[in-house]
Amino acid sequence: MAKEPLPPAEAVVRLEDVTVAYGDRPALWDVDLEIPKGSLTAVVGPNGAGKTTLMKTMLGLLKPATGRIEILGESLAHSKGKVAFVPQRSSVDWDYPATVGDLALMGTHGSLPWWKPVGKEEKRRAREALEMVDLVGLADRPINQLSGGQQQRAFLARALSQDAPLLVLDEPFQGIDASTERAILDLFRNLRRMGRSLIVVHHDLHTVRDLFDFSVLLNVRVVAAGPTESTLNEENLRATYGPRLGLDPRRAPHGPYDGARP
Amino acid sequence: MTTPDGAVLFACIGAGLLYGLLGSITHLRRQSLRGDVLAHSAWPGVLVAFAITGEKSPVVLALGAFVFSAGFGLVITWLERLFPRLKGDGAHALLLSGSFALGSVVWSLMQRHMEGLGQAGLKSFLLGQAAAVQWPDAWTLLGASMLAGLFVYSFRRDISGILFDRDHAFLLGQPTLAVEWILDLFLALGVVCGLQVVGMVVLSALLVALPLAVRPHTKSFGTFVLASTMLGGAIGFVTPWLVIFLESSFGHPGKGIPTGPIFVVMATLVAIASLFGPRFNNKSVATGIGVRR
Amino acid sequence: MLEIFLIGALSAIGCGLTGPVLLLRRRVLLGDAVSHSVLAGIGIAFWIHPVVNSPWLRLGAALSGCCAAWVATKLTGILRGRADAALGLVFPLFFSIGALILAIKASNTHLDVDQVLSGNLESSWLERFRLGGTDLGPQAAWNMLLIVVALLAAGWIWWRDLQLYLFDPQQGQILGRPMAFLEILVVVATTSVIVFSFDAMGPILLVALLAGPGICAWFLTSQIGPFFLATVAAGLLSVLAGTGLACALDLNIAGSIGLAAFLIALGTLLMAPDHGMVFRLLQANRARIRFVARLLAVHICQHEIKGDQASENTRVGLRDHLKLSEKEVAAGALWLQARSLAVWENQILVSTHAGKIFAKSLAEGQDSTDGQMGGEIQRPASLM
Ligand SMILES: Nc1ncnc2c1ncn2[C@@H]1O[C@H](COP(=O)(O)OP(=O)(O)OP(=O)(O)O)[C@@H](O)[C@H]1O
Ligand SMILES: [Mg+2]
Repeated sequence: MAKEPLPPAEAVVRLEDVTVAYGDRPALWDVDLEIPKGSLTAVVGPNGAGKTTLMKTMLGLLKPATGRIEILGESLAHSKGKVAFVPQRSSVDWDYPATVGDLALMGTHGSLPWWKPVGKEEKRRAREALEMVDLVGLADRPINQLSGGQQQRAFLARALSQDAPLLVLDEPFQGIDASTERAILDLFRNLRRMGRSLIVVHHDLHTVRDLFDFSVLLNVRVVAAGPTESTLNEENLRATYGPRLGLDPRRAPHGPYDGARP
Repeated sequence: MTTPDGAVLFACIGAGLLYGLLGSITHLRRQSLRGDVLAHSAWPGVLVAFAITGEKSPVVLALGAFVFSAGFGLVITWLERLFPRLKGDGAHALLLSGSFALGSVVWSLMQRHMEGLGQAGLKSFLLGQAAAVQWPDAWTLLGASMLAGLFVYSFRRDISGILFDRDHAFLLGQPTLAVEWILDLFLALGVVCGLQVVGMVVLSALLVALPLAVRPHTKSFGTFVLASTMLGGAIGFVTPWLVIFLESSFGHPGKGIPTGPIFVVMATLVAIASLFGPRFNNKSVATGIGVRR
Repeated sequence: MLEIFLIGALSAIGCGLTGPVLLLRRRVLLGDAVSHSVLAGIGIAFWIHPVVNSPWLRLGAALSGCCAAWVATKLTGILRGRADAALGLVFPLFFSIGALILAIKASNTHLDVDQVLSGNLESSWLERFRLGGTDLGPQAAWNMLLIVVALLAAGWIWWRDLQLYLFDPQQGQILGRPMAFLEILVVVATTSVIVFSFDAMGPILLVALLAGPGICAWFLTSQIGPFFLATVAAGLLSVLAGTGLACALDLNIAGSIGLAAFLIALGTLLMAPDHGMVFRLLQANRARIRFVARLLAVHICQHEIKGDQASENTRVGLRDHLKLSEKEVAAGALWLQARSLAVWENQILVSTHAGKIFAKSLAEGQDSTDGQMGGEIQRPASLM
């Protein structure tokens, strides 16, 4: 398992003293976090740990009660369009008149001023994004005729076509079959090699151990954050999930392209 | 066979274009009845404008109507955001009844306190009077549809992004609030422009029927909006000819066939036919992405 | 006057029994739609039997109202739940058919479209119900009374199924309950209320009495039984206030009842406990203070352990480090003081023993004083 060494630490996301509350119940408590640029980062934690809350706060969709947030070295107001996001549950209107191709193109709209038509460059990006998630064949299909997993992949394509330096994905693999999941994970690693940063909320600790180079263990506060080898250990996992969980040492790590999973 | 009056013909085309365009937007916002509600809430605006100025000029009345429609429209949007359970039609029904009740109360007050109140001018403002359509009416409608069309075309990507996924549009840096407000204002403007000419039943019918008619046959935002607008224009063009034909074959001399109801019936029949009829299997080339393989 | 009030009150009860159903099914504007659609029936009846004021007109009106409601309900299913589009498509069609027929057949009689649509509560008592020569009161009141009794009976018989229908018709179908029948029942009930009361009230007052009191009740109770009762009560209140207002200022009665219902509903949106604006603002403020207090408790303990409390735990230090306002620091500290969790000593906030335990339990994530969940609950809780 070949993992590239981490690039010199420059933070893509920096949170200081961030606390987020729904009403008076804090969902995130006093989070200090620095995620290095160019890393493939996993955010793990039990249900209700505040992972989605953390992602939405990072993006400015939720207002923190206290604290400071910096994305790509800038304040939130200046980072519009530089972050692509795949939400955990999208509450969009599936009867909307749009094809899969339109959806992929929507990712490119942020970089276009209003007077410019969609050009070759945008179409190329959208097409590439569709190729990455293997949806080119369905590009002309209306979105209300997709299966659940295909819908999720279409949303992935929208995020990919945005060409953003930072991708934030909240549980991108729900409803996605195992082989596609493998392909997309490999895609993530490629993107990382191309210098993008990715932050992925993910539940499968084995894949995290094998494929992600930075991990954030979250349970209302940050239990641990750092390079995966040193962070994802029994002790930290127990502190995050409670006593009954740990990594199974007998399960072999995946090779990068072996496809099949136990 | 005679030809229809030019003003009536162009007013019908203008109304069709305008409501086809605005209707496609309200359809996507799931607020098909909003046009009806805004039309009703113009009523107190007309009365108040008349009470303040004492004038019955269409411009003054239209201004009052616009202020009230736009105001009530924004209040509905605001209430729905504040109280999500009023989404759908709760907030709409509440403000529809509220504004119209306000209108009838103001009306009964005016009847007592203002002498020599000829009500004809005010009432027909609401119910429309297609027979008495003048050229300025036609120009207003055509102009309003051009203006709205220009806005929707210029900001088509922002509008489509915001209507589909507000959060995503916000993250891309698209001006979500501003676009939503401007769309609200355009609907109010469109309603007020058409109120005196076609009346509120016709305009609310067009707002609903035209987008419904084209929705099964279109797959993309652009084609959907364009098709709805064009269909409106086409039906608007056909209606006055049809009225003349019907008058010559069924009408008695002296008894005209009203244009508005024919317009409504045509648009609705087209919508029903397209809902239950076969679908065009159009190979969309709107994006041009999946064509080559 | 009393008779007008009686007619209004009975209509309010009828609307109060149907309004909640329409609200929960997101179809309140059905009231508006049906009352426009009756024109088709009036037109056709007039075509067949061209006499103004014949009972045929009313029968035609009722039939076409029912027909429109039924078509709209079916269409909602075909349009995948777009009740707004279905209603918007149906009512102008019916209205226009009626208007066309009347324009061709009745342009020189006294059947004024305007008159049909605006309704007139002031003169609704003129038509009397007579039995063997004795005057038993206004016909409109008897009609309404009949409908209210029928509604109560139907509600009593199908109470459980009605709840199922309102909350989860699909589940009801799986359980084998007569959901399709209930749909018809609801359509017939609502249209009969609408058709019979709109004669007297006009479509707009009708929508006011369907929507306003229902929205009031929706924000006041979260249970289905009280929901209906509160709707009826709010409707009666609106009628009382409206007729009072109309008498005092000599206004149009239907208009002022509608206005009263509107204002009562707006007032409820402002003042209602739990969901109202004022309460939410208060609640948000209180929540913020409690939240700041906990933040302070944990923060001062951490710095006391570090030993730099002299610089950090001052008003200025807390304000700057936690990015709070001075007011918030003061309010949060007051909250802690009131519970003897911390005290001010020489301008430094010092945690007490109890405060240290409190902070420790917070830091371990055991939030003992659990607050209320925010967020909107979409339907009455007992329906879940
Ligand atoms: N809109 C909301 N209103 C009130 N509380 C909320 C809201 N959304 C989330 N919460 C609460 O905040 C906490 C964190 O929620 P969050 O969605 O961030 O969890 P998560 O880590 O993403 O969980 P999951 O793995 O299930 O996706 C939970 O306890 C949840 O109950
Ligand atoms: Mg989550």
